[in-house]
Amino acid sequence: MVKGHHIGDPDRKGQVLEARGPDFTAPFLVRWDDTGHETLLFPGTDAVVEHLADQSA
Amino acid sequence: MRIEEIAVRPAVTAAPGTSIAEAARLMANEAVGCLIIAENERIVGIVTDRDLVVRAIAKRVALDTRVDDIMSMNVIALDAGADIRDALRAFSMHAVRRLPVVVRGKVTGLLSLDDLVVVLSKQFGELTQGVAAQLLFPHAYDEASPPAKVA
Repeated sequence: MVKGHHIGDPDRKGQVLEARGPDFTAPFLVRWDDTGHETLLFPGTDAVVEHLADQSA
Repeated sequence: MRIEEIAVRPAVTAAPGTSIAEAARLMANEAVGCLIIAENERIVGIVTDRDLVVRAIAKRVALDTRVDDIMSMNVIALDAGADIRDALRAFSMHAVRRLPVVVRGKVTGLLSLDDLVVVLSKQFGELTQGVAAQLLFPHAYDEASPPAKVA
């Protein structure tokens, strides 16, 4: 999840499909929930990666 | 057409601890409008000349402040092997004018929206060249390929 940086900006959620860096590091291929398109993302320190297993707990 | 086939500019990188003043000097010396902020060859952010103006100068931020305090994080990038249509999609979906190009996570260049417009304009020009010639010299085309005679 990527936080909105301005007032009114929504958080953006997406699904990490692949890790393109060595040893499963960034950039990550992300499919964005709001648009459905895929891009490479280098997440910042304000981005949160939630594992699917965490959601079921 | 793949991104690596387009004339991608070399990316100018700086460390996160670089001062705002040094970042501005680097942009001036290298004649670029943005710096990729990288640590151990990994992208951690991007800072543009506009960021320097809006996030630093306008707010009277001290010029010795670290550039990572004003940089944009969550950087969208393009794989060098991606198709030009991926670049078009990325530019249209994200409000950015420059995208770092990477190979296996390491930055290798920078693609600007301007670069892409130039490439697409050239392709469009080539596409319309034949049609334009036909519009300008219609008779020349008629003489070159006369209709077949029927016995």
